[in-house]
Amino acid sequence: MNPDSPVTEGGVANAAAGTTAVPALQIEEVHAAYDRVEVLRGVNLTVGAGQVFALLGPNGAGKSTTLRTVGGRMKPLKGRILVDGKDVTGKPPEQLARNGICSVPEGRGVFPSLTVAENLRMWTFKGGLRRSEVEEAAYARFPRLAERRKQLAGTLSGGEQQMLAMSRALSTHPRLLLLDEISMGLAPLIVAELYDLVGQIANEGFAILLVEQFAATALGVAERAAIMVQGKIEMEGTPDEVGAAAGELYLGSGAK
Amino acid sequence: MNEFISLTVAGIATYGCVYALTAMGLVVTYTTSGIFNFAQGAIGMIGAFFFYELSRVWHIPSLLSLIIAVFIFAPLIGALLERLVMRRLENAALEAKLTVTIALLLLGIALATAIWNPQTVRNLPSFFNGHQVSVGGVNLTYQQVIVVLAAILAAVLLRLFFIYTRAGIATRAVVDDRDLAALTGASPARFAQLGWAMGCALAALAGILIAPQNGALDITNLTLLVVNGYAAAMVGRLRSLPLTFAGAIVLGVLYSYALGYLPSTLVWNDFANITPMIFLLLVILVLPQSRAVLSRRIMVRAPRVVGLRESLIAGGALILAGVLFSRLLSGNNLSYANTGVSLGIIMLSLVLLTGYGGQVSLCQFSFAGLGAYAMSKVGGTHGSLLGILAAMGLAGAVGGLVALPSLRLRGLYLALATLAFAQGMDTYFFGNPQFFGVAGSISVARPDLFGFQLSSSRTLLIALTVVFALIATLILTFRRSRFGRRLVAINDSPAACLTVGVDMTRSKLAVFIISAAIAGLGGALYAGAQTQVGPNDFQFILSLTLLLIAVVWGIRTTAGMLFGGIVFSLGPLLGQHLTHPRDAFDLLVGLAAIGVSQNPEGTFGGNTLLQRWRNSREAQPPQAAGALAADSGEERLSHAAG
Repeated sequence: MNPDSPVTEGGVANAAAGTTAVPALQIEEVHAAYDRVEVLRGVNLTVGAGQVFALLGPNGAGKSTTLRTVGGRMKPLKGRILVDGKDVTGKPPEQLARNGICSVPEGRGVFPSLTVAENLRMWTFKGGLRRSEVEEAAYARFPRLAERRKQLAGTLSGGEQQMLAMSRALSTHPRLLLLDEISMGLAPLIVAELYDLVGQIANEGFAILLVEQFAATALGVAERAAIMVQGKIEMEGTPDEVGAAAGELYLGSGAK
Repeated sequence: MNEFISLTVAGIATYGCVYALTAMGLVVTYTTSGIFNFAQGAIGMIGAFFFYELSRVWHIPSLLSLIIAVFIFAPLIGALLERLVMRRLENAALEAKLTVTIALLLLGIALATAIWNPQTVRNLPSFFNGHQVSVGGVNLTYQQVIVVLAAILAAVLLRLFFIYTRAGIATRAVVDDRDLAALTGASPARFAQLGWAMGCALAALAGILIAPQNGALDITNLTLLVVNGYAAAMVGRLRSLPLTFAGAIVLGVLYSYALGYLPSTLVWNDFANITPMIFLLLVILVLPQSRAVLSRRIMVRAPRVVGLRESLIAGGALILAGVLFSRLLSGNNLSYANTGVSLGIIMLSLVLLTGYGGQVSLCQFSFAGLGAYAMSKVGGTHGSLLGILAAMGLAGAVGGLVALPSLRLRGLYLALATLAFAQGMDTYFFGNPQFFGVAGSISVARPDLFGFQLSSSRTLLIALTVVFALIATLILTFRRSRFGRRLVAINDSPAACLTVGVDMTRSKLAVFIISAAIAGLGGALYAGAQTQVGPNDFQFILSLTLLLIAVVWGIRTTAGMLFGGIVFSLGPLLGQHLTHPRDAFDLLVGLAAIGVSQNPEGTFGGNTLLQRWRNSREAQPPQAAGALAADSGEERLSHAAG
């Protein structure tokens, strides 16, 4: 496995074209439940190679659960999940992570009682990466992290923590990046910065599936988007189409 | 002055460093898996015996034997335990986690007794046959030098491992955020396994190093010696290795001074021997506690709450069964039944305290013993009702006294504080001729209730089932009351309770007192059923067994306590049919409790056939997420209550 090559070659080209290559992620008829409460009720979704896909929807629609299921933290009851055309349904999260699925969970993408440098060292579990590579990539992008390399991650500001979390996406060359509400609890200015970054990462050609409650920021960087309501994809389309329909669908879900 | 130096040296080299090894092992397993390993002592003991087997019986050179025992045998045991048992306990309640390692402790002792016949004398010579070396005017045996070097080396290596290696960092990362560790590609289970392997290796090393210093190898002694490491691990709050090391040295030196300087009368000698436990108690009480936290256990189903009608029917059925069995049984079988039901009453005290309240007590038998004592002093030869009241009053009062300083303690810390109390009671109350007579036993009259003399075993059985049914119904009524809801809430989320103004101190104190009083009542009846009781009937190890059996049968259920009590009382029965009676019982209990890891809610609760049948009766189709918040939560609660 060479983590570098597929990203730099195919990525940029596909970001524009979108559909010709094997999709980065295919979710087929996935059902998932917390004990007896069914949260995903037949989700179908395709993220093209190098595509940025925004998944929107109201509270409790099952957006985060979709990401948990793709990341391996939850086992689907039914359905299939394919990454780069390979069936990965039901694989444990650590195995998926080592094979290039990078998921940044909601609100906590760092280890608070490890130092910045130690956090970066954890990123090398992805395999095929050297410690110096990861550190260089992270510090080059975020000089602030280099200043604080000996500091515990828990004592960083919210924005700095999110930088550290995103440095995993940047330095480990994932095949698929799953971002869960990275804006949560952050100031609007920092959110804007973060989404700038997401845009840059996207330009490097990674496929990204991102979940947000607040549509505008996410739609700004996305190439394709969908709205999820009550465990199903309600509509899918270009960011403009989805943006136009979003208000109606959100409100509609309450009346249903 | 010379004595002072030699005592200090002995404290450091003989005790302190060995405690340090085992305590560091405890810290490593606790941080990586969240499980406090009560069986650490038993693993150390087995390590020492295994080493003996290799070096003395198979005549493998000492160093090679040491390497095999510490670096192959013990880590394998640890890794296996993690894989087969501990991995399933990740989200289990504290009492289930404690129970499983308590079971391992009993199982380890039972296995060792079965493999290495205690009648045989086994001597493990010191390394280099006790040759000495003089360091700065103080004579040290090579053995002591090796112990000190081993402890320092282990501490340094552990520190280097955790700071500089990727595996060490990952181990800490798993402690920090298990899910995220998995998402970066580090397998949490593998690092927890590594933690258990290292913890067991350290335990074995401690066992092997301390074994030659105490004469012939002894299963119980070795197990308990390593147990003293608990206190040291507490100094490091089960987290910090350097503090743990320092705590171990201080404890070792204090223990050495206590042995050397205290007068060698019986009372003071006892005192010296429980120094580690007193140290443990003090450390726990002084230690800053972690802040109020939200519970990490998430339940989708609300637990079933038994209604009044159901408990009255069950209680009536129990009394009928009591009447029936009082006719059917005779002789020994009848007394087993009596002992069993009275043990069940003692066990009921755990339902309220631990089952609902989540406070784990390891001293219920001490309260039971106090009850028996009060009954014998106040109840007189006829066993008046006053004696019963005195039993409940004394046990309740002492329960309150124990609870007062421990109120701010939670979870494991509370459990260990009650353990220390129970050990103190063993030595100072039950072992004291002033209280329990020179013959070591007291006679306790059976109660005389409203003119019914219960001296006949048949009548006693009926009366006991009546008492059991009454208390069980009372406990279930408590559960449905405001008090019960508050208990469950405190257990669930202390943080949320603070915000809505629940007086946690009062509720915790009340539940401790009520529970102790029930244990006292049970103790008085238990003693009455036996008519003669001695200090051995109330030993702290029995409190551990009590909790274990209660969890096995379902600590949140009252029915489970009845069956648990009867199983408990049948233990000696095995003795008539098997050559190693206690071992066989411990073996069974140990195995059953390891089954707890498969089903932490116990036989009468959780994922059993019975529960599945109940589920199917009230089966509902899975619901959409949106609908859930609106109705099902409340509906299910009212469903259960009605």
